[in-house]
Amino acid sequence: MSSVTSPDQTDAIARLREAFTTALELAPDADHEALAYRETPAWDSVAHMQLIVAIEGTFDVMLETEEVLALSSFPEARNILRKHGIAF
Amino acid sequence: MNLNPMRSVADQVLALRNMPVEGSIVDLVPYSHDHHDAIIALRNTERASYFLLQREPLTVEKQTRWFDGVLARRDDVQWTIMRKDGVIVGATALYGIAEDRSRAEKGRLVIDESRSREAPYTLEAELLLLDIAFGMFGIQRVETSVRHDNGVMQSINTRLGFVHTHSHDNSGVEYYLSSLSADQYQPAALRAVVDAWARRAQRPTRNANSPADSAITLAR
Repeated sequence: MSSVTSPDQTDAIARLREAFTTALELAPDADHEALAYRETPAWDSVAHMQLIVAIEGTFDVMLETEEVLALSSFPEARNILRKHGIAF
Repeated sequence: MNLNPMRSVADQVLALRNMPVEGSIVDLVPYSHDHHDAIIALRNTERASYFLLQREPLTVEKQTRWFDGVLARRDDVQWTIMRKDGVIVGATALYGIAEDRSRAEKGRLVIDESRSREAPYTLEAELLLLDIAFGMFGIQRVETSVRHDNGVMQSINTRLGFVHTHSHDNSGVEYYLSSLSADQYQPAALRAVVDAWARRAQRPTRNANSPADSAITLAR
């Protein structure tokens, strides 16, 4: 079965990548799918706070505390944002 | 209480030991014997013991002796990091404050790992401490020493503007020394993160009965 990614979905992924890249000060060619809290050295607790602010600003959402704690990887960020109506 | 920089470092240290420093998310509360149990629990975790080179478990007796030593010095301020609801989430310190204000060291930072992603406790505690160092004491350079394999703390220090200067041996373990000068301290972007978090939720005052002039509120 094939899947089709809409322009909106592509844009959302690009914006999420940008939020991660900026907050974690990543290289442009970083493998976002492999990012993991505390396993990626740049993803420390301070960067995590910057990341949450960046994601909330980018997607105009307010994450719940449980979501802030659960956001520990790039795929998990997508899952959380889907619950807020963001299509990926 | 007067924290005028014209006063001696010792006088300023003594003043800081008698009042909390208020932040938006956390306060830096002067460490006291009442905090031993909470801080010992944080210090005795495997992670904290490893990175702080603590080779045997802390006890109340050891902590009491150590803190009495801190109190006997006049160049050392030890704080408990406390949430606005009174929950202790960590500890930090500014010490080795030179009488000529040329340098000081920050360290002894420990944060409750189970709460470190709840809110920017570490970030605000670090900013408050650096504001005190540069703003109140007029310190020219703050240094910090981090175990060579503590990538997370090195990353945080880099975000704060610290630059690695050299390595040194601490009881057979390599530590990286980093330094931040007053003119390189640019906290605005990080402070904006704390401010954004502060706007997320209404938080009760830690102690509504505290007189307003008994705490320091740093300009932000």
